[in-house]
Amino acid sequence: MSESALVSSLASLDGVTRRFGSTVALNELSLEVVEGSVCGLLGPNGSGKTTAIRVLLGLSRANAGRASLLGVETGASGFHEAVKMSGALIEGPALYGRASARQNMEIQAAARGIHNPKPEIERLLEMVGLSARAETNAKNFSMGMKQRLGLAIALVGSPRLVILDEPTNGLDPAGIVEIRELIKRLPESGVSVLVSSHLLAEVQLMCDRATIINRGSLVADGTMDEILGQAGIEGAYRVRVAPQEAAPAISTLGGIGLDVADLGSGELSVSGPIEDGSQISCVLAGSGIYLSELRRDNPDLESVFMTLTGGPDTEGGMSDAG
Amino acid sequence: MRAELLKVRSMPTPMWCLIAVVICFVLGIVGTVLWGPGADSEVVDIAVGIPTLIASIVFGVWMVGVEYGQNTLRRTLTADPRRLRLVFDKLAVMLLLVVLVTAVLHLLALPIYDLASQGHDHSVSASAVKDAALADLMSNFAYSIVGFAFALITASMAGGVTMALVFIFVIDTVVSIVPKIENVAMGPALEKVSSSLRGSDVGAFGENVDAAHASDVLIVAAWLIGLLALGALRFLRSDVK
Repeated sequence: MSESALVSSLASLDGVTRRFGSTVALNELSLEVVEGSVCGLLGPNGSGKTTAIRVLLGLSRANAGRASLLGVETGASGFHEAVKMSGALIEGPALYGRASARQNMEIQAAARGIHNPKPEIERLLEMVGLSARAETNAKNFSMGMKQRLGLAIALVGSPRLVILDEPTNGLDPAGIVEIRELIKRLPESGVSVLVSSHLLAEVQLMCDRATIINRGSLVADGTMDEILGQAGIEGAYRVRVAPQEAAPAISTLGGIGLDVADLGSGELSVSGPIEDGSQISCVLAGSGIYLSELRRDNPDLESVFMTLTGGPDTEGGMSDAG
Repeated sequence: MRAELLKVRSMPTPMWCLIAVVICFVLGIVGTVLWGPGADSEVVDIAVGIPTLIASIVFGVWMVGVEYGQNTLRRTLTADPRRLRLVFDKLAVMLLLVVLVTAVLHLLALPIYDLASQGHDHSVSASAVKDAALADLMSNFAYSIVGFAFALITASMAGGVTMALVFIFVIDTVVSIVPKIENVAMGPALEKVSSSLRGSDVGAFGENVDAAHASDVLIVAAWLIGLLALGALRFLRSDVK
């Protein structure tokens, strides 16, 4: 690997355009995966997430713009080394169904030119909880087991970057938590992650940064805080008072120009021009109403996404992979 | 190349190809014990030559088609994205195994069928088996490449098998009967080369075959290189799903 590969940006698209006939799948898209991060790639169905990943990995050619992996431009000399130092799981696990889990991993290790891969294979099977099923043919696995095996295969060869396309697809809630925790821990072992997901809450829970795309174009990019800030959504406050004091509290807060919604059982949602939470506490205390709870109700990524993209996309929506 | 060998080891299609040729080989032994090997050791053609030919076409298609059939090409190319190298690796493994299986079965055929022919008028001739081995090696080599190339061209397992068979039995036959171009058909040229290697002027289906010339070798080579080039070009230029 050349010195140029030792960069903090592990993967990048720079003004990449990809057309399929008259359809523009990617429109001058730029994104970056920073070393040591878990970066989310978000977008509704057909927004170009998978196409962007394919271009990054050299599986699809860009019509314009530049794509690079570990500092090496797609198709340039040394690109194959960069791909070998990356792992990928695209559109579900690609498994040889009639080969066992272990054989699937041996094939991947051999394709990457790894000698004596047995210890690593054992470690990865253990990590994804498939040691006991190592000799079972992959076709007999549940979707969750296939996803875990796919993740293990992507990690063969100790890659610096792992690109995961919808890694929690088809998993039950426990499986989702399991995979999420696995992904969150990857940077600790020196593996950076680019993960695309239609599950916005998932991305919010496991990513440090995110790139939001819609119709092949960049919508927002940055750390989670930056993206939440870009949306310009004001956070509300959640306030809890004694149930019998809800009505006076609503009246008091409404009196100073705040919007108050009664959520029931003494719980109120307060929004409006609030400088600080203590302002609410102070105003209510002045009326003899004391809070039992006051917390910031931060905007979630879902509301941010809807704000930035102008609502649900009629072409796809957020329930599918792009 | 090791990854391709591991795929061959792990997948059922190569195993079934091998099982099919072994079953035919065993049936050949039974037939030889019961009825003898034939005046010109025909048992070798029927029980070894034809089964290995069919297995070679199927195996040639499978070598590429398995990646399309199981959607594993993206995984293969994200392990190592050098597509041309992948084509050569697969081609090398395929030809190695086709040659190995064909050669080993012919080597085994001589002593085993000779032993099985005891008590019959004819015995198995060493020179007949050697000639048949050379001819079968040539045919299997060529037809496995045809299967391989069509799997690349169609980017499909089923498409590869279908188009390879259509090419072998229809397109090439049509070419061989169309005036002015009949001499450039691959099948008849290959038949001439195979029969010459066999030292016979009779083809696989009993037809009279002219002696091969250098031009026949060139025609076969041109077809194989052309089909392979077409397949490789398609493979190198297309998006991988």
